[in-house]
Amino acid sequence: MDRVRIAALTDLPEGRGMRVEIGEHRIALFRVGDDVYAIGDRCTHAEASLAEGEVFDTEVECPRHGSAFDLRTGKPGALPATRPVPVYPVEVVDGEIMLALAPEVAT
Amino acid sequence: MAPLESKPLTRAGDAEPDWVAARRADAAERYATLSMPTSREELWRYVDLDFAIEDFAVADAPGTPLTAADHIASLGEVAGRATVIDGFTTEAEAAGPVTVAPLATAVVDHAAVLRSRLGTGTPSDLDKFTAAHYAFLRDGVLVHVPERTEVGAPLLIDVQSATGGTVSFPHLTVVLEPSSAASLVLLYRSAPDTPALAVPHLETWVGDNARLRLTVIQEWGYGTSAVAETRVAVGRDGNLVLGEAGLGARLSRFRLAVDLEGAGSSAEVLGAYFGEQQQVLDYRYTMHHAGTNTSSNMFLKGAVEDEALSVFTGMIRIDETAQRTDAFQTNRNLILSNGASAQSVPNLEILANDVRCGHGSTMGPLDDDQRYYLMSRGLDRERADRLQVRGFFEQVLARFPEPSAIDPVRRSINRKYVAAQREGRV
Repeated sequence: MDRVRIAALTDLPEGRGMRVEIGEHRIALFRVGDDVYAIGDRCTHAEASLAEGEVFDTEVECPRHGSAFDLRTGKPGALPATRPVPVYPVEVVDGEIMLALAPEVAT
Repeated sequence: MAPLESKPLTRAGDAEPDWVAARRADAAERYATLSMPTSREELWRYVDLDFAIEDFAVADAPGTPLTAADHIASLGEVAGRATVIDGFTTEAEAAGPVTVAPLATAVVDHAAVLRSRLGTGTPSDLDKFTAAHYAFLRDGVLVHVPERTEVGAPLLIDVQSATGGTVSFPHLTVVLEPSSAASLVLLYRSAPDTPALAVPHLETWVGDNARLRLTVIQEWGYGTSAVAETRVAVGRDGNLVLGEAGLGARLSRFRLAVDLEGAGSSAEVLGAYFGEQQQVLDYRYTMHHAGTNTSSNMFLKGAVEDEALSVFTGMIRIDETAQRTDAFQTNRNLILSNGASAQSVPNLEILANDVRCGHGSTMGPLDDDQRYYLMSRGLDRERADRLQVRGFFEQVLARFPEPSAIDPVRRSINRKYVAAQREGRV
């Protein structure tokens, strides 16, 4: 699978998201310790930017209405959102964040 | 570091203009005779000062600059910027017709602009802090926007206290000539544990038909005390929109005096503050209507948690000459912990007889009905409370004058509330 370099790991601050747009993909990246997560940036409830949300362990809380999404699965853990956001395969190679533009949506 | 001493306000090699020397000498004299304010005085009621200005020394040179801030990155391209560290201006530049210059060189190079203004907005005998400011100030920034100039991108002034144990007196003079417009973002900050005292003054002139959007973000570290003066004079048909975010300091005293001097001038003053732990946030606002047909609106929202204290005293003063004034002030407070407190004292002083004027102030905990509603929609209690706090501030943040500056403020308030939740203080 083709992977694109997004940024250096050190460019991604801990505890808050970073939004990147690649073609049609609008992605929110989060760093929790040495782990990086990439999910679709649009909340499935009212399209707010999840990159601006607060991170709790491995969950991000939508800044607009408080829906929470699991950063690993994209599944909503709290209303009002009921549908999952896509998850992008991501890994850190030599300190660089590499992302595959092949989102998976949980069922 | 050096003890407090009144020194020339010019760069080495330049002769200090007589008028600067005279004002400085005058302030030094007042500083020697004035004593520290106490909470027995109405203007300092509720706040006990547990330090003296002499407890701090003056930096010999600017300290190590602080690292980049969210608040700056979010602005994107700026039309001009200045950095003041420990009272020394280390950087000042602007594009095109706008001037952003260090005060120490501007008193010589831009004497015509400064002579009639520097130190005239806030009297040096107001209290010991203002006397100290004018007696000991070493540098600052002049921002000058010429007539009929609209500055597209924001102008940034980044004021930092970088060296522990120091006191600094940065002075900012901002002049918008008639029919000009600009957005100025002023960031006051220090590292989380820097024990320092900052006494910054901002004196602003908004000319006839000019428009100033002013955003003041105070993100002083928890070791820093700040006693800041802000004065804005607005000319005929001029307009000021000011948004202040109080996000830090051990003690933050913030005094604002707006003078609506010209007929038809107007001001909107917005504020959002969040007091944590044992912080003291002390706001003293005066809206002075002197011209006819002037209008103003003050709208401040604050929250306090743990043992924090916030004070808002607002005064709308309407002169006899200021007929057909329309003025309002609102202050709303969220008390998030039992040990936290907020004081809110709105005042009106009306000498004209054809005015519309009002005030309102509230304080209370998070709303049980709203919490119940949100929980009935499937949110757990902590989430519901976070949403309520966010919504509370959104009403005022959304109206802040520089849209690109709002997001980091929003995030900072969220982080503070989340930290309080995690540590079980709310």
